[in-house]
This record gives sequence, structure tokens and C-alpha cells, in this order.
Amino acid sequence: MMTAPLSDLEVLALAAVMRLGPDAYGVSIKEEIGSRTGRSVSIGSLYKALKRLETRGYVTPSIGEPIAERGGRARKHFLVEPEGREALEASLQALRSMVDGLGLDWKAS
Amino acid sequence: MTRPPRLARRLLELLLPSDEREYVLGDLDEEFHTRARVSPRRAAWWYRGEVVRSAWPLATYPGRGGFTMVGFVQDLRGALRVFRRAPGFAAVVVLTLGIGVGGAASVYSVVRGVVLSPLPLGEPDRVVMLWGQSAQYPRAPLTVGDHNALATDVAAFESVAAAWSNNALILGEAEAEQVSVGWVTPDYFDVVGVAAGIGRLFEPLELNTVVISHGLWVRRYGASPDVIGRTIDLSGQPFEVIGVLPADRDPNLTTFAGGQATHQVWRLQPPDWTQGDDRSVGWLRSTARLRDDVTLVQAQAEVDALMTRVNETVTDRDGGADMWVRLIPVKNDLVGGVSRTLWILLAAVVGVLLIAASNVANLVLARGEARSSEVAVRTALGGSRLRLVRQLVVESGVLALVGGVLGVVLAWIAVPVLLSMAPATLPRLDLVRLDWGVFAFALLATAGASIVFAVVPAVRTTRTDLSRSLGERGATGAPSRQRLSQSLVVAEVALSLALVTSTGLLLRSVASLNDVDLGFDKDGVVTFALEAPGWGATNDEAAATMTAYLDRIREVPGVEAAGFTNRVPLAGGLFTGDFRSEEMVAADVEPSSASFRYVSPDYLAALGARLVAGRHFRIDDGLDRVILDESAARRAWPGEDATGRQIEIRGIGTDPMMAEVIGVVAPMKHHGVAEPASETVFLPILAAANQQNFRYMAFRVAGDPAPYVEAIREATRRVSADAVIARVQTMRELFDEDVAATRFASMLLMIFGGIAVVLAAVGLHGVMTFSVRRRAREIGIRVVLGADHGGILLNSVRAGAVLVLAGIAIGTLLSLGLGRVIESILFGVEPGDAATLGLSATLMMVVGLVGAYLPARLVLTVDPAVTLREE
Repeated sequence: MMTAPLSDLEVLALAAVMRLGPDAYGVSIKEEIGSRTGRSVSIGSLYKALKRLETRGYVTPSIGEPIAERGGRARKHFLVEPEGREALEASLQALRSMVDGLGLDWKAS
Repeated sequence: MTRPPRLARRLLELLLPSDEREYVLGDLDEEFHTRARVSPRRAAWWYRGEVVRSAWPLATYPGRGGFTMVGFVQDLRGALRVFRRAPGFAAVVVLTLGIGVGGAASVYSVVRGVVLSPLPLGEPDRVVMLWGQSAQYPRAPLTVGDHNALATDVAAFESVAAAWSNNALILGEAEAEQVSVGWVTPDYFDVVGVAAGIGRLFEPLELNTVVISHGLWVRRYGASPDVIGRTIDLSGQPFEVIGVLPADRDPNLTTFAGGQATHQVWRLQPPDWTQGDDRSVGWLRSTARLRDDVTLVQAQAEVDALMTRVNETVTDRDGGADMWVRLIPVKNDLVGGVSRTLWILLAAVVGVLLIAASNVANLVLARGEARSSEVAVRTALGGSRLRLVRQLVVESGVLALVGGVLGVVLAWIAVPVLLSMAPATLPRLDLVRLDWGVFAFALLATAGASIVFAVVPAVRTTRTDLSRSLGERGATGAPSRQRLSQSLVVAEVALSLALVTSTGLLLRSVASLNDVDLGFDKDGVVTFALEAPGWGATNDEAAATMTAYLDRIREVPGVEAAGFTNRVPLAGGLFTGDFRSEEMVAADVEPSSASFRYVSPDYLAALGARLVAGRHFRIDDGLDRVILDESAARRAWPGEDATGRQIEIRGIGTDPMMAEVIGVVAPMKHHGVAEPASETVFLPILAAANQQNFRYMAFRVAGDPAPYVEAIREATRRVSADAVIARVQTMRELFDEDVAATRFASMLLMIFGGIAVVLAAVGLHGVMTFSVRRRAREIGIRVVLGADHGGILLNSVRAGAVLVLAGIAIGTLLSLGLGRVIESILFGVEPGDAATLGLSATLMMVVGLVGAYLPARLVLTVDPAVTLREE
């Protein structure tokens, strides 16, 4: 089944969730993206991206315990599903075939 | 512990989809607290920033049908369904709003055209009129001496010019035509910033050339460029046309009387007219252009300093020795008198718009209450509050839009009607039109009204308590919502009362103006200026010509009396001199200033002046005979009979003469219905027939004088074929013009006040109806328990009466404040007039009680069996 390609923000969010593993939730994902790319993502945009990943079955949410620091609210954690991993690879593949031969350095930081 | 900013948090809650609310708020709280440990202030700003940046993504959150086109169309359909399902509601909302917006847009179009649009001059802000001002005369034309002092000694002025006007006849070619001629000094067009459209303007000393207006050029000369260089006959003298003014510039400024001059032909004043320091006659309409680096205040200060020096040396001047000069920007001068009235009317109509908007807000609130179970069900089923608010806002928006469109249509109908009713003295009415500025205003008015009636109830309605709406049926409804409705009604009643009181004050003013004793009879009299070439060089010849005109006019069947004068009452112009009694001369008492009026024997009788003592003039009376008005007679001989006594009179710049008082007439209002009658000395015009600049006539008939004008015109032509009667006006018309602004304002306010009262009553009726409906169950139970209908009815009416009384209390304070604002356009009534206020409050009370009683009667129809079964 063909699904819509991932957006820029969805790629970043998916990768961040994969990196963080069981620690992936709103604040940590924002920080991960921020520290690695320098991009400051608004909480609204992030949840919108995560919702779309969730709808397509790329990530699965799970609800944690209420935490006092959060005003007694629970965290919503995310885990990447195998389909999510495939989708991320497909996105990278698409990107790689587009930039192949342009002489761009993948390792450049 | 620091908390996230409340308003941002509230907004975010509204925006968040319910299933993510907890986690997003939690995430933000967590991060906020981390940041707040470093700096609470910056953390708060970070929080607000997050909310703002999240607003759009959250509004378009997947699966919630946010601000998408599809969702919008759905809402739109929902809104249109309102029209089908509740056509009465929709119709009342649209009509109420339409009336409010239409009224506001109409009045604004007049304000925009008359007050706001710039004068068609070059840099009109730098051009000022220079009017004399003394204790007796608030607005006097300048004398040559004062004009020259200002022209030479004021550094703040770039240039100074003067104008004067008379009428002339264009003869030859087509039919003789009467035109108003502006006689100007050479700098005039530079001062007003107008260049020639075609041809050129005057060189100094060009006395036999004229410049014509664009209108005259098109009308009489077919817009032919050949007119330049052509010679035209102006009252028997040849003039070369050297230029035509452009269509988009009009150098006509204000006249003595306050209206705009209508010169169509312009010519230079002979230079000797404005030379020297003569101060015997004030006749110049002086105008100056300010230097670019000077403010009006600075210029005024310089002029004041100059006039202080001048007044020290001046002993004798038309209008008084103590004369000051006021600088008035040309536009203020032209529209200053009416702009206050127009702003007051605009404020009144915006008040009506506010009342309309509150009414609609009440309707929406009441309807929201009726729909509260729908809202509750939808909220319970997961409908987000945002979605609901949005739907309500779109619904109200559609209603507002339709109301606004209706308003523009109403304005489109109303503006021509308004213009046809507007007094002719209202300047610049030709600039009033429905243009984009007015549409923008209507849009703004609609938007403002919508905020009052759409957003507030929408937020209120959706804050419905689920358990209450779905569970136990609310017995009294949400108290806060009811309080809002009630406040709106109180505000409506207060605003309406203020409008009604102001209307009452203006109606009393109109009545006072109508009852003013003018000192003459305003009915059955026609006045006109007689313009004719060749009156005769000597006094005998001029007197014979005058007598010939009088004889011909008296031959017209139906004419009872006719006479000449140099100034007609209420038509503007000033002509003064000094007088004192023989005894005062002996005692060396200072003479006092008076209006001087030259009149022919029958003139005062034609006007209907009341002779109090003595007799009128006869043909053979010389300048040694005068008639006084009662106030002048009282000043000369307090408490004594003036007839047969000797008086010293002195025209400005002439030697004193002794004269015998042969008669006394009742005081006459020369300068305005609302102005005090000035002390007057009447002199025989036939004894000074060749000295007159202006010759006016008045004739009296029984009944309506208008049909006689043609016969009078014929009669004057039998004396001279080129005689023209100009400025034909009945005394009634002059009177009507004088009081027109007050009448116009009171009539419009009466309409606005009427609408306001009706709207307030409708609003009260709505709120009461609704409250009775909601209490049906409670009432049912009470009736079952044996309460009597009458007691419950009384209770309901009392609840309404409390609202009305509160409104009246606030409205009374508002009325007193408003009375001060409109004080300047009142006449013969105090701004805080208790009778008017009491009457208005009573009216409001009666209307309010009817509005409360009718719906309260619904309680009588409550059938407990039916009501309770509904549960």
C-alpha cells in the first residue's frame, strides 16, 4: 500500500523517537531535535506530526504514570513500529537517490 | 511556585483537541518548570511563544476538522440552516442590525462629505480666514485699515488677500444672467492656491479683465476654449475674459453670513479700494496663507500683539474700537458651525447601533440557552469547544454580514432622503456620497457590532455545565448568562433614555426658536435684492428711481406694502454707527454703538414691525428724522417717551448729526433668531438714496407670497429692462434657514431616539419572555402548590421593572452628561432641564413596563399539567 511520504518534521520526529527508545515523549523529542539540528519545534507542530505518524501506524503511544512536576499529568510515550522504521528508510532512500552524484558529502557536519 | 501565564494557558486549552490536552499541557508544564528555575519571566514568555506558535498546527490538527475549507462550508451551511429553522430570529437579527448599520453609515457619509473631506484648495491647511471679533460682533468683516495692518505687519503670513462680492448681470449674447462677482486683491488666487485651468489669472492693475468659474464656462460658453480673449458685457461694462478656473478647484470661501460664496465671475478690486487706513466700514473678507514654518497658534499670537498696538491708536471703527482678529482655518470656518451638530448626530446613531448590537447579543444568548442541551450533547460526544465556538461565530458572522449588507442598502436609500431634508445652509452637501470610505465604515460598524453580539455569547454559551444541562433541568439557568442579558438590557434602557432626553431638549429648543419674538412678522413677506444699472447720480434722481420701483410694485394686485432697505434681517451683514441722546451729549456720556438701517416709508410696515410709539417715515422725511427700536430708546431715555426728542447719530467716519425721534418700534432680530436683538437706529433711505451699496426690498401680501414673485419681477422690469431681482427669499425661508440646523438635528434625533426606544423595548421583551419560559416548570409547581397567578405575574413584572429602573438611573446620569455636550446647539432650555428629563424617564418607564408586562403575562398561560409532564 502506498502511503504519503514523510514530511521533514515527521522524519526528524521519527528518528528522535528511535534514538530515545522508551524515553521518547513530547519534551525529550523536542530537546533531541533541538540539540541535534538546532531547530526549535513548537509543541503544537510536534504533536501534529506525531499524531500523523500514529495514525499511519509508524509509532505506538503508551500512557505513563501521573507526575507531580507536570501538575499531576501523565506523559505520552512513543515507540517506533517496524513500519515506522521502513518508512524512515524509504524517505532516506528517496533523498539519497535525489542527491546521488551531486558531490554532496554525507559525512560533512 | 511559579505558574504558566493564565491567559496563554486558557487559550491553549481552548485550542487543544480533548484527547491530547493532558499530554500537551503536561509537556509544556514540565518544560516551563525547568525553564522557570533559571528565569520565571523568560519562562513565561517562552510559554506564550509556544502557544502562539502552536495555534495554527493545533487548529489544523488531523481528524478534528479544524479551519479547513470543508469545515467552513459545513459551518456556513449550518448557518444558512438557521435562516430556515428560525426565520423569525434571523429576520429580527438582520433587521435590527441593518437599521443600526444603515443609520450609522448614512450619518457618517454626511460627516465624511461635509466635515472630513478637504477643501479643494492648494494646501488648504495653511489658509486662514481673518475675521474681526468684538464684544458685540463675534464675526465681523475687516476694515481697510485693519486689513492693511495685517497684510504689512504680520511676519507669520506668506501673503494676505481680500475679497468682496456683489452681483452683476451678464448682458448681450444669450439672455441676461445674474451672477455673483468676487472682487479680489491681486494675491487672492496665490493665497488660496488655485491656478488657472485654461488661460491665465490676473496681473496687478488689470481692471478690465475677468476670470470665470468652470461651471459658468461650461454652462454659458459651452466649454469653448475660444472664450479666452472674448469681451463680455458685465452690467453695461466691457470685460475681457482672460482665464477659466479648473473644475477641481473652488476658491470660494465663507461669506459674512457663514455660507460659502458662489462667485462665478472674478475681477480685481481697484487698488485704491484697499489703500490707506480707513476704518469706517468693515467690508473685507480677508484671507491669509501662513508661512510653512509657522503654527496657527504662533500666527494668532503675532496678530493679537499687532491688534493690541493698533487698538491703542484707533478710536473709531465699524463694529467698535476694541476689535480683535481671529485666525480660523478655512475649513473650520466653513463647516465649524455644523460639524459639532453632525458629530453629535453620528454619536447618537452609533448609540443606536450599540443598542441594536446589544439586542442581537441578547437574542443570540437566549437562543444559545435554548440550544444549550445541543451544545452539551455535542461536548459530551467529544465535540471540541473550539469547533462549537467556531460554528457559533460563523453563524453570527453570516447574520452580521447579511445585516451589514442590508445596512448598506438602507444607507443607499436613506442618504438621498437625508440630503433632501438637510438644510440648504449645510455647506458642501455635494460632496456627500456613498463611497468606499462609507462602505469601510459600514464594515467596521458591522464588525464592531458583531464582536458585541457574536463572540461574547459564543464564549458564554459553550461554557455550559454538562451535568446541569443534561441532568436536572436548570430551574433558573446559568446565572452569569442571565446577568449578562440583564446588563445588556440595562445598558440599552440607559442609552435610549439619554437619546430620548437629548431629543426632548432639541425639540424644546425648536419650540423656543419658533416662539421667539422677532420684532416683525415672518409670514406673508418676501425679500429680495434689487440689482439694476443706473440708479442716478444725485440723491434726487436715485430717490426718484427708488420711488418708481416702489410705485410699480405697489400696483401689483395683492401687494399690501413694499419698501427698500440696506440690510434685510436674518440675511447677514452688519452696518453700525453711534448714538446718544441730547441729554447724554450735554452730560458728555460716551455714545453707544447700534445697528443702522436705512428704510423707505413703507418698509417697516411691510415687514410687520410693531410701532410702539410715534409714526413711520414719510416720503419727505430727511436725515434729521429717525426711528429707534425700543432697546435703543430705552438706552437713550430710560423709562421715558422717546418720540419728539433729539438724538445725536453718527455713521462711522462721518460727523455727528442731530435728529428727531419720530417713532419707536419693537426690537428686531437682525443677526439671528437665537441672537439678542441689537439696538437699532432707522434712517430714511430716500434721503440717502445714492449712498447705498446694497438695495434690498420687502413686500407684504395676504397669504402665501411665493406666487407673487413673477409679477414683482415683471413690475421691476417696467422700470428698467435689465433689472434683476436676486436672492429672493420669503421671511419664512430666512427664518427656516436660520433655525434649520437645530430642526434638522432634532428631527434626526427624534428618529434615532424612536428607534432606540423601540429596540430597548424589544430587548426587554425578549429577555422577559425568555426568563418566563425558562421558569415555566417552577411556575407550574408553584401553581400546583396553590400560588395564585396574580402574585407570580406581579413578581415577573417587578423583575422587569427593576431592570428598567436601573437603566433609567444610569441613563439619567448619562443624559446630564450628554446635555452638556449638546449645550451649544440648544436654545431656550437648560441642558439639565428637569421637565424634559422627567418626561423622558416617564416615557422610558412606561415603554419598559409594557415591554416587561406583555411577556410576564405568559405566566398566566402556564398549565402545570402540561409543563410538568414535559419533564
